[in-house]
Amino acid sequence: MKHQSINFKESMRRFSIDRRRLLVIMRNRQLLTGPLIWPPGLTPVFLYRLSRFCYERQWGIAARLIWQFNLFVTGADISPISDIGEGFVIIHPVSVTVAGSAGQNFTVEGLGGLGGGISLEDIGAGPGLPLLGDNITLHRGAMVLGAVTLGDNVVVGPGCTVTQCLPANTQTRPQKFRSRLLQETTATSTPVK
Amino acid sequence: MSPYSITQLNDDIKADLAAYQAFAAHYSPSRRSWLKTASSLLMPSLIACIFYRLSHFLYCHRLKPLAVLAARINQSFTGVSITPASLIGGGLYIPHPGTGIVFQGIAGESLRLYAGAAVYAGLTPLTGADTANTPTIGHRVSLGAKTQVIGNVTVGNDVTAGFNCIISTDVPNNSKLISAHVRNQKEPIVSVD
Repeated sequence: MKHQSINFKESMRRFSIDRRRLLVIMRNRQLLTGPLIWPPGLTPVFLYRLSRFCYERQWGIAARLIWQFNLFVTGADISPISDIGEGFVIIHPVSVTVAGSAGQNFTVEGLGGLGGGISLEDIGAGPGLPLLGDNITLHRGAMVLGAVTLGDNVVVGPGCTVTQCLPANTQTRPQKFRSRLLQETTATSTPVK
Repeated sequence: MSPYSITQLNDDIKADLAAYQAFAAHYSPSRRSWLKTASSLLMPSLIACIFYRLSHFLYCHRLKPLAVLAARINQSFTGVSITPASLIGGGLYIPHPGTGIVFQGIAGESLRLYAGAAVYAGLTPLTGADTANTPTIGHRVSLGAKTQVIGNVTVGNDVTAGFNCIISTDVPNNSKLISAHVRNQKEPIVSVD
């Protein structure tokens, strides 16, 4: 695996773009962020940029320590082997797992992420890890597992699990739930089929 | 006259404590004592409720930075992120905090949020466009694990949602929602590809 050396200035430039994009999203959703308040999704991205910088300098122990500190503090497991472009945004960082490579403007809503499957095939992101294009949105609970490629502008809907390659400009949507009306008289007597 | 008085805050916290004790009585049916009540205030599911009530109280009294600070302490300490502007009636019960519970919206009395449940704004047509329309939830609603209520929808009273229901349409009163991934044993198993 070849190492493209990124200097500290470049990683902090990427982080400033991440920060600007996160603040725009939080303002659109009317989530409160004061000037003194560091948004919660910003800490894991900052620590990931630091650990990625250390990993590319081949300071393995420092990268590993920052990664574990990130996991301990924020609950987001963002491995330094994953190569993510500028504009990386995590909105709710608890139980986010990112191991794989992505392009620019990668959005993770929460409770999901990228990860390895069963096979150890390497398609450019590491053994068994997914490789994503630009402008990809993973909604809450969405997961991309295994050595698959996703094209540009893919939106993975809430609660979906992707284990196949998707072409560019596609969406996946969750299946609709089934609903039953509970009547007051029969609610306790008959079991729900 | 303030919109959220301190007696109302007290009543809401007492209702939360009563809801917690009603559930805890199923698991440890010993005699109720003051020591048991005081020690149940140390449970993270109650700490999350109390911090949310405090942050909402501060928000209603125009102390926005302190309200955001209380919400952030709640988020980092218990993993439950409830925005201070959201309105939840008394008797909120969160059995498993620390699993990335998100709430932004309006809910009635005795709401139950199981592990990873989320009620949040935006992303309604699943196109990635953020909107600030938040859901409205009725009384006595239980949202199961990983259930999501997204966007400008209304959920009626006495609704029980099971595991992994993605609710992006209106739900009538007295209904019971079952995930599309859950099948009866008699039905043929459909391969999820």
